[in-house]
Amino acid sequence: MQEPLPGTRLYILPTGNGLLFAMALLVMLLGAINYDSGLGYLFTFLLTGLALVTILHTHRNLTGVQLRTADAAPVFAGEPAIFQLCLDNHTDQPRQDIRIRIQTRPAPVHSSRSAPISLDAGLRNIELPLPTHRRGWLRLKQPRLSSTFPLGLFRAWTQPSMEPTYLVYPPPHGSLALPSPRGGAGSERRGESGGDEDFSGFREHQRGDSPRQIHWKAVAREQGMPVKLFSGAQPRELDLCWEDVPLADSEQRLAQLCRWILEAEKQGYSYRLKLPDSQSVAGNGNAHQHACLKMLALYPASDES
Amino acid sequence: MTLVQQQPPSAAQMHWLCASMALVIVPHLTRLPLWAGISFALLALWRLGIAHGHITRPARWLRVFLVLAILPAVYLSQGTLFGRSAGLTLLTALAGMKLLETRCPRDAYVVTLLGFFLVITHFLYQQNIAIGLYMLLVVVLITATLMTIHGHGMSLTPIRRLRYAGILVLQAFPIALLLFLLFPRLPGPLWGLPKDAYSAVTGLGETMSPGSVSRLGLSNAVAFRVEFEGPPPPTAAQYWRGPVLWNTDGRTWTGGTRGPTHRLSQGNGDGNGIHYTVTLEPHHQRWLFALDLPVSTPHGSVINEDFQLFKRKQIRRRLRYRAHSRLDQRPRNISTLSAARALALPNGAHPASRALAQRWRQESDTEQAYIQRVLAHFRQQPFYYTLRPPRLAGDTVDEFMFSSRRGFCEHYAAAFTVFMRAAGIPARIVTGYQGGEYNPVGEYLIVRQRDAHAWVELWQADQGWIRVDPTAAVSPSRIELGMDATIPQALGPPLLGLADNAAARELWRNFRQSWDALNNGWNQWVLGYGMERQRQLLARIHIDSRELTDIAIALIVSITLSLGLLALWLWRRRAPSDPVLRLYGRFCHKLKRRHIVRGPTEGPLDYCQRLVREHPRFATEVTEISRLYMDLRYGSKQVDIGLLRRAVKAFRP
Repeated sequence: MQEPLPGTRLYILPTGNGLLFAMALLVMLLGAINYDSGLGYLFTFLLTGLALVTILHTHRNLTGVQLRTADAAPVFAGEPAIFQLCLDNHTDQPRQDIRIRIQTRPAPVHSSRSAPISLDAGLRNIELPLPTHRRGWLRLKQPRLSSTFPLGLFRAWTQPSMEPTYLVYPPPHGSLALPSPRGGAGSERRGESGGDEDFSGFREHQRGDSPRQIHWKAVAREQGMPVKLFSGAQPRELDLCWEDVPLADSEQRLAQLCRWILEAEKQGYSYRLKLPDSQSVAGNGNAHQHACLKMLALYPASDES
Repeated sequence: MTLVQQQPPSAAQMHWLCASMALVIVPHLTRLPLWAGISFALLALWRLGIAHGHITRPARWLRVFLVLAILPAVYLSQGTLFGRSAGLTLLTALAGMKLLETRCPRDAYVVTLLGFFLVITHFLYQQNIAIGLYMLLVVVLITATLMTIHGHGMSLTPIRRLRYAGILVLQAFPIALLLFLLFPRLPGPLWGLPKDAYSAVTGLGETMSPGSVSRLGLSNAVAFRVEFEGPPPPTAAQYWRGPVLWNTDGRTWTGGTRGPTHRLSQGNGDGNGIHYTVTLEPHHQRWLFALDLPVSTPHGSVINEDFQLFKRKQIRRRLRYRAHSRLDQRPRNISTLSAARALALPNGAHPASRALAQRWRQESDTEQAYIQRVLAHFRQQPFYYTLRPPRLAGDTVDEFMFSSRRGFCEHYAAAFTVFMRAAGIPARIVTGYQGGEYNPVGEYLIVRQRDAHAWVELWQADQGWIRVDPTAAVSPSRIELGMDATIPQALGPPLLGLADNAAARELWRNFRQSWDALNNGWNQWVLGYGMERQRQLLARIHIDSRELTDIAIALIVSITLSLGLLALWLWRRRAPSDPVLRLYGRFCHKLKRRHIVRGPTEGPLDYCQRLVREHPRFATEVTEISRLYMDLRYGSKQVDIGLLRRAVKAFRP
């Protein structure tokens, strides 16, 4: 016999329905005794035997099923984290109605349960969403595999020894425009370039100009539609600094920084994140974006909040 | 909590639920008041209509009204809220309401529990083999329903769900059997049984009046069954002694011996005589029947002066007792008081009969001659032995003797006793059964209600109470061959036209006897298994049934053992059938012997990487095997399994 779930224990206990069933059996037994009904005894005991036999069936339904890799791609707070799980049935015995529950560990507890899963021999991928609320590392309790098959009188469960974690970025919020780009060290200045770095003057709006470059204050004063001109270096570089965000609340600052990072990534800037205690190198691309967002996610929460 | 559980049951689930509830209630329909059956059907149909979206759910006020209406309805139709039939009506109505209200799996679960309850209620009314088998099927169906409503095995087809439920019930059977045999049986009811617990049964009464025995003549109900511990006595000697009647008001005969009851010492029952075991159907009277004449008292019973056996309480359930009788013994006790009673006749009753009796007595030289003359009168005059005697309106004995001349055994016994008493011969009537049908299949005698009989005992100073059966004078075959031969229609095949066909009758008779033998076994072992049988059975395996600890240990050990055996059987063939998995298992096992153990949740890739990192000396083999394994198991690439087999075989960590 192959070790089905090495190192993990399988527990089994009656469900609420099972306890109700036991009480019903007791009443049936009293009836059989009182009316001295031989068939009453026989059927009461048959139902008792049925309940006992389902312990084995419930147990068997779960043994030899393995849960693998439970990881979720990082998400922004507020979006659901999608967990990728994989059930592996080592035997050719089909399994019925296995449920998976995942649960966050610290309060507030969020949990997510799968619909009953039936499984023939082999593998089965399952996705389970969990809501996210706070940035940072979130740890899950050990996922729980459970089944009450076949009659719902007993629940067998097992908790494979894995503690999935997932990273939650701050939510991208804030309405502030990206800070001005700065010229790269040693780069030559180019007048009236379309770059985003240093402000060099105004010109009239032309088709194709970024709305970001429009001088909206002038528009409000009905002075036409001037466009801010910048002279900058190639590649354009941005410093996204904690100090540049004129917001008091640190979470709001992080949210704004988060939005800037996404913005900067989208626009192809080479950007550098500067937090009070740390800073990243300048860079671009998915890995760089992830490193920056991770810095935001793991930034220590302020004490006063 | 979960979304899944809050979903209302699907139409398919409601079909299962309604079908199993309907099947469990159908056999109750004859016992339920009409309104209960009809409203259950309507409620179930309503719920099915909801499931299919044809009708809406009942409004809240209507549901409250229906629930509140149940109790008054039951009270109005049953006259009470307690007892068996009121309880059954209540349960049925509640099941119907709960069915209508079913909105979540929990509700459906409660309905199935009510279904299991209703299964048990059937056995308070009838416990024959047919209802047992039917209810077994119903239990399988409810079990499958239970699987269905939990959303369990919805991936299984209905047939496979039924099969699974059947297998579960089958596997539960050994445990049920162990509990049935070993669970300590308690005597008697735990609390007072409701009045309606015992419905009226046909059987011999305490009194005898014209028509009281003949009304049993068509009843095939079994009175008792007898197993002889030797060859059975001839039919003509099979007089089963029951109530002895002394007093009469001219029409009805009653008992009268209340004298001290006592036990007969077992010493009377020396080796001679007939030993036999009687299984008596409950007749709700205190007396037992024994072959004339019992010479010892069965366990737990007493005997009175009339040699009638009694239990202390009414016999409410099938009773098995071993008795001992001698055909050659007669009661020899008579007191002056009882001699007077055995001669008493009500003043002014039966004037014609008494006059004739006195005339004949004077004409006869001896008592014997007189007795023979009376019997000859029955034999020679046109007296008829019939199950349907005409109603006697006036003086029953005179009218029978001089005008109707048609009667059953009670008419002959009563008239004969009057003739004896009128002539100064002490006489009393004994009621009971005579004959029976020997069942060669089960090797026992069946005595039915139609074998009920009444005969006469006369006091003869030198012989004691001798038995005289006036019916034998009229219809000798009744005594010699039994009722079956005398009035054969009573047990003929039920099909018209076949009753006269000898072969059909023979076939029918064989079938009937086999069926009764089966029923007898059922009665003995399923229904009649009580304290006494349990004590005997446990004694055979050296357990004292009074030692509850011993029984508890026996129960726990045997049930654990049978569950263990079942577990072994369920877990057989647990090795993976997938050859790829098996080969990889062998690979892991080889490493395990080198104390390199794969972690519980370590995937093959992680394991491979760790092996390469920690044990670089066999990195190549491990990488190769892992790659082949993953390709074969997870990949879509076509890889030859032989490669993996050879790689694992060659692997020497």
